[in-house]
Amino acid sequence: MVEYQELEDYQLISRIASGEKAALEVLYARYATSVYSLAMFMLKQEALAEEVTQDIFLNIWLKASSYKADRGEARAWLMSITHHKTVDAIRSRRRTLAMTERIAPESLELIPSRQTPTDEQAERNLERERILKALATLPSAQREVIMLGYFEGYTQSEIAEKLQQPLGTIKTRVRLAMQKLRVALDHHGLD
Amino acid sequence: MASIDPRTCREMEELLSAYALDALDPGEAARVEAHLYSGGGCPRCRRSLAEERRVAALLGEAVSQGMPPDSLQGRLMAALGSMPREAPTAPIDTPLLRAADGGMPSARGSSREVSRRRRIRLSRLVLPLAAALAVVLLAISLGINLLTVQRLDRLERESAGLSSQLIRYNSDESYLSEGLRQIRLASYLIASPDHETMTLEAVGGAEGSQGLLLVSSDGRRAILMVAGMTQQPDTADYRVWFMRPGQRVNAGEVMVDASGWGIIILYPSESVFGFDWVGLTSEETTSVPASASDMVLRGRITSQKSLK
Repeated sequence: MVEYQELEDYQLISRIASGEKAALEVLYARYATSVYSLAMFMLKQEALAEEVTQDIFLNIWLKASSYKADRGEARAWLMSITHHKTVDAIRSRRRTLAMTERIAPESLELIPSRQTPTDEQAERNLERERILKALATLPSAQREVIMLGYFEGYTQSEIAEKLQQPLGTIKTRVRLAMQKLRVALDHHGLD
Repeated sequence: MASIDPRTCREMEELLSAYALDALDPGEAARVEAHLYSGGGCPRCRRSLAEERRVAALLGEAVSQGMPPDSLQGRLMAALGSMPREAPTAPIDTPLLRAADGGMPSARGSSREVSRRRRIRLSRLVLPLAAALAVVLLAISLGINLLTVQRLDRLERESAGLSSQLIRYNSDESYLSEGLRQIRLASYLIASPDHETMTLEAVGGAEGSQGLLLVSSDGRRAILMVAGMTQQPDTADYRVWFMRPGQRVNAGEVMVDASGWGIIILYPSESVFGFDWVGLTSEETTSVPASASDMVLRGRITSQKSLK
């Protein structure tokens, strides 16, 4: 009898690739909140965030065998897929309707959590605080390109046009911001 | 495996941060992906990318956490059903999956005429899928829906073989991908047993045109499909309105191809069932339409459940 709860993420993904739905259920239980929260934060619409979340896990079910453990942690892989899909949805929607509001860096802290605090949630909140502190160490111009690029789904060219800055300047800001974030996060003991 | 030019690696490393953030323009993203994955690709840059993605993933977890509704897991497992899988041909994190699923942003600055020609060309690909979707609508069958999803998945994999052409055809690919994405989302809604279906009929001289509105049970998701529409001389867009006494709300724009067919996924800010009518005007009607005579298609919003 397989104790799926005991399995590491990469082992779950391997079992999903073998067609074991119970493994997908456990992976869903572990990550549905992270996936949905990012989609919801970026899309600002519950129904759309639900669609995207469902689409992401369906894709994991269909494509789990393509996961290569040597290409990075499962968690980063899954969040990367989440971000791809959410950006897809944003760009698709942007083609038909204008986005109504910008996401400010402060909004990362202002949106209240709907979850009842648990030990695991408390741990996540601590981790989140560390990430926010790392983000706060960035100069405002670098933080701005991260907000526009990562959380609002703009490409570097679109950011350059939006901020009326040369494309090269935006590329440099993105690169420096990511370097500084990595240093700041590692300094705070996240790896 | 062919040897990797270190100069290419240096150039790519400049782009990996933005790639991990999904912030590269399509052409650059395609170049990075070719370097990372084509012919065995570059393991050194893949390791660098894994590091960039680790940081990006942490950003993604900086947002406040909120649980999805309990019903979502049930919907997901129901959608899986007996869906079989085939061995994938491309890594899940390559652009090809993203492109096939609507991931490539549209090229900017192309003229409407060029865009129209692309739509006409691509409509030959999208229309058969639309026809398949129409069968699904008639049958409203979960089994047929699953077949549609599998077919789309197969198309995704087939498109994976076209990576070298992606750079040249980003705009075309984007349009096709968007069509596939919309049809896939439509199939999810159709698979839901409690959705509502409403018809839109031609108003005035728009004979031969018709529409179908599918609405989720909570009224917060809807799909509008139209057929037999007249393509506009300067634009292919029609505007969608939800109406009730004293108020008309702009719900989005639907693009119509050369055959007069179009589809749009709608996520209204309030329940569709709070309105009495749905209608379409030509795109020129940019503000609130003056009267019902502006409408080219119109349909009554009803809920079968409320009638029972």
